[in-house]
Amino acid sequence: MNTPVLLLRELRKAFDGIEALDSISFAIRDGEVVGLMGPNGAGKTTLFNVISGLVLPDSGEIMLQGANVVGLAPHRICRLGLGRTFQYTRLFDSLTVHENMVLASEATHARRREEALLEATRILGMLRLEGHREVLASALSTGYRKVAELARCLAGRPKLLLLDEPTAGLAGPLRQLVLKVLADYRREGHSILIIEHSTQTMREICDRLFLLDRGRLALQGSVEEVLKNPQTEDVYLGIHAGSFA
Amino acid sequence: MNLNAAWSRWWLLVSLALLLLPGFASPYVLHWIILILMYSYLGQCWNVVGGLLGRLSLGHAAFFGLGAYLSALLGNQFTIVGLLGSLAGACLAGLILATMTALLTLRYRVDGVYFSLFTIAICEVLRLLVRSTNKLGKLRLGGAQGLIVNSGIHGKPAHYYLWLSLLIILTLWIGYGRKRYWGLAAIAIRDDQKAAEMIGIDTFKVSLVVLALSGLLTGLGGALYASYFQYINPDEVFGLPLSISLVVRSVLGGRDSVVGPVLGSLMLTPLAEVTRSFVGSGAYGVHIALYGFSLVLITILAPEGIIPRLKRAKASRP
Repeated sequence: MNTPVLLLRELRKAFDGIEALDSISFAIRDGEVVGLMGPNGAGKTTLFNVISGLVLPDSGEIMLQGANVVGLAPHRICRLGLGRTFQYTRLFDSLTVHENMVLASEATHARRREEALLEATRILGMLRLEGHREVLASALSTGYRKVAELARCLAGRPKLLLLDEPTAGLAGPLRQLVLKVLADYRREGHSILIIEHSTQTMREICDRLFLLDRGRLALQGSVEEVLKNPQTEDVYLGIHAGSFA
Repeated sequence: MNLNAAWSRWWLLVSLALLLLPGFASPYVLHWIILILMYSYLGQCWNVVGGLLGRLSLGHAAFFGLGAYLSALLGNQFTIVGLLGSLAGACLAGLILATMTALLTLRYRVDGVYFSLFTIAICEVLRLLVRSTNKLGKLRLGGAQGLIVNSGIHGKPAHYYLWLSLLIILTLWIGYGRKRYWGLAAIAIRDDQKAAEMIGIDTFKVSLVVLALSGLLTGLGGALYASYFQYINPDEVFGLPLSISLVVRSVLGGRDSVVGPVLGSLMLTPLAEVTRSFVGSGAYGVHIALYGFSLVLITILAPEGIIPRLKRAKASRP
């Protein structure tokens, strides 16, 4: 039986008595894309923070490729095969796009600088960022910041990607390019856990959906099962059934 | 092609001038050039922490003073270690103190203004300890009166070439290292430490190494200072004004620039002398006010530093 790339068991996290995560348990397999949805304050970002090691859980297990990562420093978790983007991009603004990527590559897997340079060039081409190669991250537009952050994440060759609204604010062609790259990444056997609010994106890319509500995993299933479930609307928008069909 | 040839010729002329300078500069001028080189070097040592890593150390004089005193003591009372031994001792002292500082501040997450305060505290403790200690066993420290340094390198030309070589090597190394993993990682930590962790950078290790290296190099600077002036006292070598002057030089020249500290020293060291020479003798304190006014003016015109300001002006030209 294949080890899931990510396995969470009874994960709990509270802040000042408020349960941000309440007994979260699920598994993500190789090559699977799982969408994570829920209203603001549902615990999506907290879940990402706990998995990536920025926040310590109160209890529970997090197994990344079979290794227990609870308590490990974020950089160690990253080197075990986790990559992450943020809702509000966090690029290194004093560095160029290329430098951001080379750094990510060298920090995780590249044994020689030449290897990191090649990797960066390959991903720049994949995401059509060659023209922005020597541009400082601080000078990028919002859309290209999103793409550059994804590129930096990919440069670390993670086995599991945690993506926080990667297509938010992207215009049509750029959005399609990002989705294509993610689909290719999945085909190579990598997995993605993606926070999204766009049902269109969920339908295009996700295999399964999880619905988080007030820290609990309220629903999980195929995309259509979750989107068409009346509970989703009650939780997410509080409007009548039928809006997600 | 013509531009490259012109640049090559210019660099050749500058290199020749620098090489031959001690032969035609007066001792007074050579002394001031040595001071410029010294402060440029020390500014670069500071800028590795304050500029690259983004940690505002206001107590770098701690490493400087420790290096000065240790090399002076080794040279005065353990002549067997020789010059190199004294310098190595100074480097080791700076390295150990900087490593301890780094371990404490990183382990207990002493960041931002608290880091600055911590560095001031370390420096002040050392200053007061040395100031109040005339003798430590058989070691004569001199207390508040200071210490005569009986050993070291003699002659202004030797110091000139030594400081020039150190500055060139350090500047080239920083310029090279800034584009390699350690330099990029330090800048990433400065820009966003959490994001740096998230892409796999061991921020603790990188910060520790950068701080330790800066301490080692600053300690060496202290040893060479002691050798040049042949006299040290705790208020000077452990003094807050020295720490602040390193910060000011780097910030004015441009913290995010390889040559920022050099430019800052080129401007400020002669400025201090000019204001003192032309105005200081007439009315006491006026030259200090003029010096301060000049600093404020530069800060208003180029808040990010002179080099970044010039780069910005060049980039915005049509």
